[in-house]
Order: sequence, then C-alpha cells, then structure tokens
Amino acid sequence: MNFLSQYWRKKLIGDIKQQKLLFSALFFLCIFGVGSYVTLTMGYTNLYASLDRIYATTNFADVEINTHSDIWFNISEVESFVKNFSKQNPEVGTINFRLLAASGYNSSIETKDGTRFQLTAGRAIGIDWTFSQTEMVNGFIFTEGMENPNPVNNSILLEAHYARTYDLHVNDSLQTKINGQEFNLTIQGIVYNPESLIVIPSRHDFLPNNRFGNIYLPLRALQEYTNLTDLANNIIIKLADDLHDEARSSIVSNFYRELNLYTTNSFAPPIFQEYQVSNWAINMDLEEINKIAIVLPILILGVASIAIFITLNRLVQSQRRIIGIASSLGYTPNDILLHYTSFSLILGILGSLVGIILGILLSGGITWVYAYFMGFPAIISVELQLEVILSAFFIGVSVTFISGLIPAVKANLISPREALQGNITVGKGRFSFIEKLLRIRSFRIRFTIPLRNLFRQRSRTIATIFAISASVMILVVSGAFNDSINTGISKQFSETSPYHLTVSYDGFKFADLGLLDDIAFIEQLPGVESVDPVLELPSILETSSRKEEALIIAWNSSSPRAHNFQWTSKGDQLLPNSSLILTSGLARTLGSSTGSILSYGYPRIPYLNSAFEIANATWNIWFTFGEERARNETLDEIYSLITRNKERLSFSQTSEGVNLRNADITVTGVSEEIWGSVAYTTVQTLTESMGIDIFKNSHLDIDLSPYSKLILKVKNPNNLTILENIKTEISSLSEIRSITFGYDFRTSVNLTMTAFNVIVTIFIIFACILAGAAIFTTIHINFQERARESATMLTLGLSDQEFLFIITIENVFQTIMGILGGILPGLLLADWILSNALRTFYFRIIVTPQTWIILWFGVLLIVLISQIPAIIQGVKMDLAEVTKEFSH
Amino acid sequence: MSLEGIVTLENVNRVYHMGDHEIHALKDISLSLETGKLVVVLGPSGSGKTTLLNVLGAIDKCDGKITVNDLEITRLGKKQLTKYRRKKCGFIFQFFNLLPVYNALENVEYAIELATNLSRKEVTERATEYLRKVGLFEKRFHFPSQLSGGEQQRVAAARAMAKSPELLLCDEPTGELSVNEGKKVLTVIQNMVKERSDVLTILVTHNQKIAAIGDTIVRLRSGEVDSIEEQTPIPAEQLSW
Repeated sequence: MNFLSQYWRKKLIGDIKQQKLLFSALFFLCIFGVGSYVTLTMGYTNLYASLDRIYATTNFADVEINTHSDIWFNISEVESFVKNFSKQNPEVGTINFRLLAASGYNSSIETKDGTRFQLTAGRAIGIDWTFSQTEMVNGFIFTEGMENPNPVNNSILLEAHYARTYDLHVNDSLQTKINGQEFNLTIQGIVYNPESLIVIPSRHDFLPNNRFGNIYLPLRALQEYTNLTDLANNIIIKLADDLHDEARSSIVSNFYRELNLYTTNSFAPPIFQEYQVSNWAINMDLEEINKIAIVLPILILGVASIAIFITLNRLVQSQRRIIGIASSLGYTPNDILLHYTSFSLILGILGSLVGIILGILLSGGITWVYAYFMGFPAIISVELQLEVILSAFFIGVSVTFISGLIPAVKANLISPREALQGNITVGKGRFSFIEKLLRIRSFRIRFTIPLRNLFRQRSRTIATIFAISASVMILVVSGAFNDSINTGISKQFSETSPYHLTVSYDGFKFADLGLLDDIAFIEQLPGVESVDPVLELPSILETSSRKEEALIIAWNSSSPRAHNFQWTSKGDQLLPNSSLILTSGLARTLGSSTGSILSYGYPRIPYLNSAFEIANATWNIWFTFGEERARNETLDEIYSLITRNKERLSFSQTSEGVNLRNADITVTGVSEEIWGSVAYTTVQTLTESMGIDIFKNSHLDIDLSPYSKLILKVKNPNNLTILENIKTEISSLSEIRSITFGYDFRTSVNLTMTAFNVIVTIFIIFACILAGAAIFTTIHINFQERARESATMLTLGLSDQEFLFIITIENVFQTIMGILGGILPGLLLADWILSNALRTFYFRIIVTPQTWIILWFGVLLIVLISQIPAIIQGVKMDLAEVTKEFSH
Repeated sequence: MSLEGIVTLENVNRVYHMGDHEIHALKDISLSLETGKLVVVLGPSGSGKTTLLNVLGAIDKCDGKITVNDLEITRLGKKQLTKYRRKKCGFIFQFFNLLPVYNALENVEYAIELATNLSRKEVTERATEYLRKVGLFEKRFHFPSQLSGGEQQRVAAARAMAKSPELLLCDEPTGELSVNEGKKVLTVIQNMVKERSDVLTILVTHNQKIAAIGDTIVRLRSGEVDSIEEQTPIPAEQLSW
C-alpha cells in the first residue's frame, strides 16, 4: 500500500528522529493515558468477574430476610409456607433457614511482646448441614479441610479472615462463648463465604475487621446452645438465574408480604444482595475504581492531546517552507495532510498498543493486589476483555488523531506562495498585562522577558497552565484524601474518643444485674482512670423529608469521660434528657442542625414486659418474707430469666432487624466526628422511651437500664503490662464477649488505610509524571521555537546563569498559575468524592501545611527537573549557526 | 605583513567535520586590522567570510591566535568569552535578530544594559539617542513585527553601536533588504564608523558593489586571504546594486 510517498515517509522518519525527546514524551503520555484506562477498567471488570465467580461458586443469596431481633420462627411452620409459595412461584430457587447468634472467642495472637490472648466478637451461624454444596445458599470455598464435612456437635467451620489473623487451622480448638456459655469447638474447615469476603460486622461497624469471627456450625447444635430448639431467625433465598430486576423485586416483595401475613409481622424488610454489607462495601470500592478509571485517563489524555496539538502546530510552523516547496513541486494537499496526521496516528497507534499491553499486565496486578489486601479466596478472574482493548485503542487513536488533525489541516491550507514567503513571527511582542498593572519600568529589561514570553502565545501558556492544573488537581485530591482521613481518624481517637479499652457484653448487661458491680470492680483495678457504660442501638432517624439509618450511642451521663464532643456551633450543649447530639456527617445527610426536632426509632423488647410480670409475681411471693428477701429473690429470678435467654434480649446489628417505634427528640448539638451515621443520647432517654424505667419506677425499684459496652480510660496507656492485667481481670467477669484495645482498633484502621495509601501513592506518581511531561513538552517546544532569539541573547552577552534564570522564571510563573488553578477544583473534587463515596464516614477536607509545602515544592521541583534538557540544549547550542537560521 | 593594530589574527584555522568530510573554512589566516576603519570582507559563498566574523565575535571556535586590543580571545574561557561579547562586540546579523518581545527601544536598551552599569534612566536615554541617530525615534515603541526589514536592521545597528563596542561585526547586513533599505542601513553604519574612531567595523558581504564603502577590502577565497586593499570609501548613498 502506498500510504505515503517515499519522500514523505523519509521525512516523517527524519522528523521523528529529530524530535525524539519530544516524541518520547508524547509517546509516554499516550501510554499512560491508554494504560491507565485499560489497567483500571480491566481491573474493575476483572474484580467484578472474580466476584461473580465467587458468588456463583458459593450460591450467594439473592435476598436475605431476618426476623425482628426479639422474634424467632419455627422452621417447620415456615417451611410449609415456603413449599407452597415455591410451588406457585417456580422462580424461587433454593431457600435455606439459618439461626444467627452473637458469639465471642478467646484466641491468642503472636505480637512483638509475646503471645497475647484476645477476647473477640463474632457471629455463630447455624446451618442445615444436610444440604449438598450445590443446594446450600451462601456456601463455602474451602481453604483447609474437607469440602463435605460431617460435623458433629462440637465442630465448626471457621471463616478464613479470622483464621488467618489468629493463625488457626483445622483440628485447632476455638474457645467460643455463645448465649453466655463457653464451648470448646473444634475447627473442621477454614472457609470463605460470600457474606464475608470483606468482614464487616454491620453497617455501623463498617471498618473491615478481621478480628470479627464468623463460625458455621450445625443448626441443631446452635439451637441447643442458645435454647432456641427448632427455631431460626434468618432466611436466605437464591432465585432462579436470569431473572429481571423487576421480576426479582416483585417476587421478593410478594414473598415478604405473604410471609409476614403468615407469621404476623415477624420479619424485618428483606435485604437484597446489593445491600448485603460485605457486597455493599466491595461494590463501593469497585465504584471508586470505576470513577478513577474514567477521571484519570481523561486528565492524562487531555494533557496528551494538548501536548500533541502544541507540538504539531509548532512542527507545521517550522516547516512552512518545506510545505511550500513540496506544494510548488506538485505534491497534493492530501499528501501534506496525510503526512502531518501520520505523526499523531503513529503516536496514537504505538502509544495505544504499548499502553494496552502494559494495561493488561497491570490490570492483573490491580486485581491481585485488591484481592490480596481484602483477603479474597484464590478465585481471581483475569481475562482479556476485547471490548476494553478495542475501546482503549479507539479512544487513544481518536484523541491523538484529532489533536493532530487541526495542525495538519492548517498545514494543508498554507498556499505555496505564502509558505515560501518571509519569516515567521513566533508570537507578537507586547507589554504584558502585569507590567502595565505594576508599572515595572525600573525592572532590568532582560528580566522582563519571562513576563513577555508568558503573554506572547497566550493559548500555549493557558494550555500549559491547564496541564499543570490537571496534575495539581490529582495531587490535591490525593493529598486532601490522605490528610482529611488521617487527621480525622487521629483526632477522633486522640481527642474525641480517647479511650483505651472497650469491653463488649453478650447482648446487654443491666445496671442492677451486675453492671454496677462490674464497674465497681473495674474502677478499683490498678491503672484504671474511668469507666463509662454505654448502650449502642441501631435506629432510624427521620426528618420531614429525609430518613437515615443511624447508630445511637447512649451514655449513662450527660458528660461522658471517655468522649469529648467537638462542637460545631456556639449553641451546642451537652446532653440534657430527651435530646440527641448528631455527628456532623449525619447532620449533613439529614439536613439538620442544633434545635431541629427529629423522629427517632427505638426498639421494643416485649420479652422485658413478660420479665416484668414474672418479677412482679416473684416480688409478691417473697414479700411476706420481707422487702430485702423479695428484692434478692426477684433479682435472682430476673437474672436467671435473662442469662438463660440472652439471645432473646439481643438486638440485631442493623436497624432492619429491629422492630422500631418512633418518638420525637430535639437535637441539642452537632459534634464533628468521622462517623457518618452516629448520634448520641443518654441511656435514661432510651430507657424511658423503651419503657424499661418501669422496673425503676415501680415498687421493685430495680434499675434495669441496659448497657452493651464499657469504655475505659487508663492512666498510662503506653504500659502494655498494665493494659494486659486489666484485660485479664475483666475477662474473669461474666457475660463479657470481647475486649478490644484502642490501639488494636487503630491498627485495623491503619491496615485498611494501607491499601488506600497505595492508591494515593499511585495517584501522586501519575500526577508527577503528568506535570513533568506537560512542562517538558512546553519548554521543549518553546525552546525550539525561540532558539534563534536565545542564541541572539547569548551572543549579545547574556550569561548562562541569566539564561537559566529567565527560563526558570517563566516556567515557575506558569507553574504557580497552574498550581493556583488546580487547588480549588482539586479541593472541590476531593470534597465531592469524600462526601459521596464515603457515606458511612464524614471527613472535613483538610490539607495540612506539610502537604501544601510538598505540593508546591514537589511540583516546582518537577518543573525545574523537566526544564534541564532544554537548558542544557540552550547553553550548548552552536551560536554561530543558530543566529543565522532563517526561520524558527 | 605587520601584526600591529587593534585586531590581529595569527595562523587562524577553522575546520568543520561533516561526517567523514573535513571542510577547511579558514586556512592559516593572519591579519592585522586597525581601529576607526570599516573593513569589508568580500568573497563568494563558502569562502569563509562568515566564519571569520564568527571567530572574531567568539561565537565559533578556531585554532591559532586572535587578539583584540591586547586581549587574546582564543585563550579565554566560556565566562570570559561571554563577557567579551557582552562588552566589546557589537553584532549586526543578516536576519536582524531583534528580540520579538521587545520594542525597538527595549531592544537597544537590552544590549546597553548588558554591557554597562548605567542606571535604567541613563540606559533609556542612550538607547533613545541611538534610535534618533538611525532615524527611528518616532518608531521607538514599535515592536519588530511592526517594522520593515530595513527599519529592523537599523534598530539592530543602533543596538550594536549603543553599547560602545570595540568591534562591530556586520554579517551581510543588507542581504535581506531592498536596495533603498540597504543603502539606509549602510549609511547608518558608515556614519557610526565616522563618529567612532575607537571602533573597528568588519562588514561581511558577497556584494562587490557594497565593498566600495569600506576603507579596507579583505578578499577571501576558499578560506584564505586572497588580497587586502586599502581604498577611499564612497558614501553609501551613492551606491547602487
């Protein structure tokens, strides 16, 4: 094919050779643009494909329905309903019934200070083991142990994240606490499960937590441990494949409606697969990757297209004579057009091809790195995606081709007469706006040249500034992310919630049923500074227009010692009764502020009503033996009722699982914290709403205020021995499920941040390359274009240092403008991403002085480095030859 | 030949390497040129005349010895050569080489500022004076793109002379100009030579007719001095070519 005539082919190769540095820079920009698109898009798609494979292998439930937290259903009764429903609706595939119960473990972990035991929380999941792996919804991927285990009552399957954290293996024993009793359970297999690909205890405990242990055991065994014979509280449903969203939604809502009719409203609303907490968290991450996969290549290819346009425009200008001669010798306009578009085509084709190859290799890496950090099973799908490859090639070639087309058309339009005529002026001289503004007349004339140069070719200056701004935007977003999150987390744990130990109870512990004794016991332990009991409850907060799920943390006093509210306005105040303090993220989501009145949902605990009746009866029986006797016997009776039926008193971790009633409450303050869905109130407010105060306000005079946690501050938190001693003493108390050190929690937060920091680092590298390539291209072009005048200045006696100074000032000025131009959009973009992508958190945008310094100096340094080749070329140029060049 | 006077060249050679080829642009040139004279270097294309100008202006290297007012420039380092060009040489290029970002006045100011320690005001005064001398006072605020070729070259002449150089080097100053414009430029140069007896002006041209304005004509052929002639110059206005 005679693509180009021999002359133009030779010229093309010659031009590329002559401009090899510039061509290389543009080539790399194309590679980066196309490469980043392929890497991130294929990484994103591969991760989704991996998820799909994992979900397909494990029969991940399409929907999950839980009973309200204080209700269990009889399996045989619901089973008959389900059979009937399935008969009428063949789209319903498989349905499994499960029993979920809170659990706690005593596990040991190797640390640098030796072996430490840890009391950790988790969930026991009772499943029908008679199902085969294909029938089982939410089945397993085994990393250790038999794929078809035949578990006896004291054996379990352990979720892989927990097993890895505590180095547990098949046949190891796991000390487990369920329903207040301790069991030694043998691990029969280590498994992954689709519900916990990222282990997140609940939507309110949304940080990935590999210390949260999910165990799977036979349904009957768990029923026995929890005194819930024949009962279950969780239904998981796998629908027929290829069901449309509408059909899926319709069938599930029918099922739910009929189920609730059948069981008199025992069930909380269904949770579809996309809202299952682990899947939801992964999807949020993947959506982030998807957004980046769009924004980053746009920025890079945008800069590449500007650079190509500037370069080719310059090439056409410098070759006007050649174009003129060629035209007059009879070459057609098409030859010329084809020649100059060939540059951008070659760049586009080569850059896209190399970018695609690199992108394919790196996308595998991204998939693997994400899966590694999140602890996915080894089913990773890395596939060549033809549509991504083709679209990357199309985008890469189109962007470069279009960027080169305008200069090529310009070349094509030059008439031979015009082209052969005279010199080409490289931008007209004019007084710069700044000189006029500042009236710089006393300035040394040779130092005004950078200012003049800036205003000489405004479009190029603006393009360069835009390219630097694009890089700075990426840097600001990365820096603001890093600083906002790190500062937010650091402030939360060091100033707002400066606690050192958290003790979680099995369900609740009631004030007069041991909690006050526990507090008294802990307060006298050496090293303990303060103990605050708290009650955590999932709730729904509503305004007239908005509704938001929230976690309410209730303190037993209006001024907790382990929590310092960070007020956002002067009118904010500590907790009076019947009031609520919102965290700023939640206030923003709800559109509420201090003084707003909200409706909040509180749980009902019908079991407590029957407990109250039993307690009354006990009191009456024993009252004839004296009030003290009556009180002691009543307390014993209540204690026995509660410890035997602890599961009946525990709430689900999410508000979907809680049957809520509503009451109005006034917002008395907004505290700036990192949690996006947390509100604070007092225990008294909640117990009054829940009707628990009847115990206190009756002749029984028993304070049954429920608490779920103790928050401890110690005097010397750095002394690990004291902390360990306190933990050991506390673990001897009854009904303790888990004890977490503040720094353990921070460690898991930091671990989560590691993956994030890797992404930030990649961003920063991209941004630096972008800034460097942009400035390198412009400087190089500017230098080529102004070679004769530079040579003239040097010939007239300008020293190398002055020459360096002039070039540097011009570039520094462009850089400063670029940085200033990139800061505000960067901050706005960071704020948008932080507030939209991280709904469960709230981070105020913060950029620390260190980051600003690094940003300014970093970008300036890159610019200074990028100008080195042009300056070397400048000071080494042959003055005799260049001063005599006819045109630029 | 006597080696006394302001500028002396002794056995100056310049060889260019073009791949495997060697081009001997200057061959054993020895010359002595005196202050206050306009020396025209004449020769066909490739005779070495521009190379001679370049080595005198220290923008090209050579072997041999060149002395300008007792300063042996062939022994100077890069910084000293920059200083030499800045203080002692005035350049008028064939393609004018005005700095496009500066207007006429600023172009002249630029050279004065580099060469002297005058204040900003004094620099402006001197630049204005020289532009007046070349007949461009009215257009002193015009940028090069707003001036004709001849006007640009006159600005270049003002720029070269305003710094009070010891050596004024003019490389085909009329090469890009019409006859009328060329004559005006040559008149400017000739007038400057008359005014300044301490300056040696070397004008390179291939145009035999222009040689008539010089006090001395140095003819070059194939990099060698073919002849040196003294003559009585005629005013540039009387030239025609």
